[in-house]
Amino acid sequence: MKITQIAGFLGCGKTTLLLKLSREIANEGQRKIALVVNEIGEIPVDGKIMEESGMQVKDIGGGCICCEVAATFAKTIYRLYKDFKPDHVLVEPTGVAVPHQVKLAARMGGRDAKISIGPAIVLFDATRPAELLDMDMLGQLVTTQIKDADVIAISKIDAVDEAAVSESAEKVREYNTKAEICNLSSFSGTGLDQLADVILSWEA
Amino acid sequence: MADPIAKDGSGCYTEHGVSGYGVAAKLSRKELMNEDFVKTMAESMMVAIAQNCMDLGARCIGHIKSHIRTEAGTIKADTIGPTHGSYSKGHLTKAG
Repeated sequence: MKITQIAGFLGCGKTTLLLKLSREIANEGQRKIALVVNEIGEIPVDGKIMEESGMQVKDIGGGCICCEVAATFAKTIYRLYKDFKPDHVLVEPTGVAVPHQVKLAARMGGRDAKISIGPAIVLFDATRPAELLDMDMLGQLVTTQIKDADVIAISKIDAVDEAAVSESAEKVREYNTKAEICNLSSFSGTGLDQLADVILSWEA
Repeated sequence: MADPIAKDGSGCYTEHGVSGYGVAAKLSRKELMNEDFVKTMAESMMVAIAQNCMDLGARCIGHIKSHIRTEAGTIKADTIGPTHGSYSKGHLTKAG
C-alpha cells in the first residue's frame, strides 16, 4: 500500500487533481485506490464530492493531519490497510499542511501495516505566485511546502501564458533544487500522465 | 523521529494566522431557478464573501468554496480571492 500526498496551498487545485489522478492510477479498476481527504473545518465539503466519484473515501475533518489530528490520520491509514487493502492511498492534506509532517504521521499508521511512502507532490498555483511567496503573508508556509516537495507541479497552466509558467518554475526552484518540476493542468489533462508515472514508479 | 503532533494543541498554520470556517445554510426562493441563475448567484456569493473578508482585514484569501445542493443537482462554486474572480461548475437537470 503506497501512500502519496497531493499537497499545496489552499486553492491550488488539489481536489481537482486528486479526482483525475485517482482515475488515471486506478486504470479502469486494475488498481485499488483509496482517497483520504483532510479539511480544517468541521463541515466536510470535498469528501462528499469525492464520494460521488465512487472511490473509497475517508474524510478527516476538524484539524490538520500533519499536526492536530495526526493520530486520527495514522489510525485511518491502518484501518484502510486492514479493511480495504488498497494498492494506493492518495492523501489530500489541508492547504496549510507541512508535507514532511504528513509523511511522519503516515509512518505512524504504518507501524502495524505494510506501507510504503510515495512522493510528496506539491502544487504551486501559477495564477498567483507573488501572493503565495509574499513573506509578509503566506511565504513562510508556502516555501516550507515547496522545500518539502519531492515533485512540484506548477498548476493551472491553462490559465496563464508560458512566461508566467516559467516564472513560477524559476521561483520555486530557488527553494528546492532537487525536486522534479512539471507543468499541470487538470482541466486539459497536461501533466496527469507524468504524475501518475511518478507515483507508480516511486521507490522511497 | 520528531513527533508531528503539537504539544500545545495548536495547528501548523496557527502561527501564520490562517484559520478556517464553515457554515451550512438552507436557501429557498419562490420563483423557479435555472442553472445560469444558480451559478451566477453562487459565484457572486463567493466573491462577496471574499471581498467582505478583505474589507474586514484579511490579507489573503486561501480558498472559499461552496456546494449548492438542489433537487435538480449540485452546483459547486469557489474563489481564491476577489481579484481572481469566481468559477462554478456542475449541472442542474431541470428547474429547481
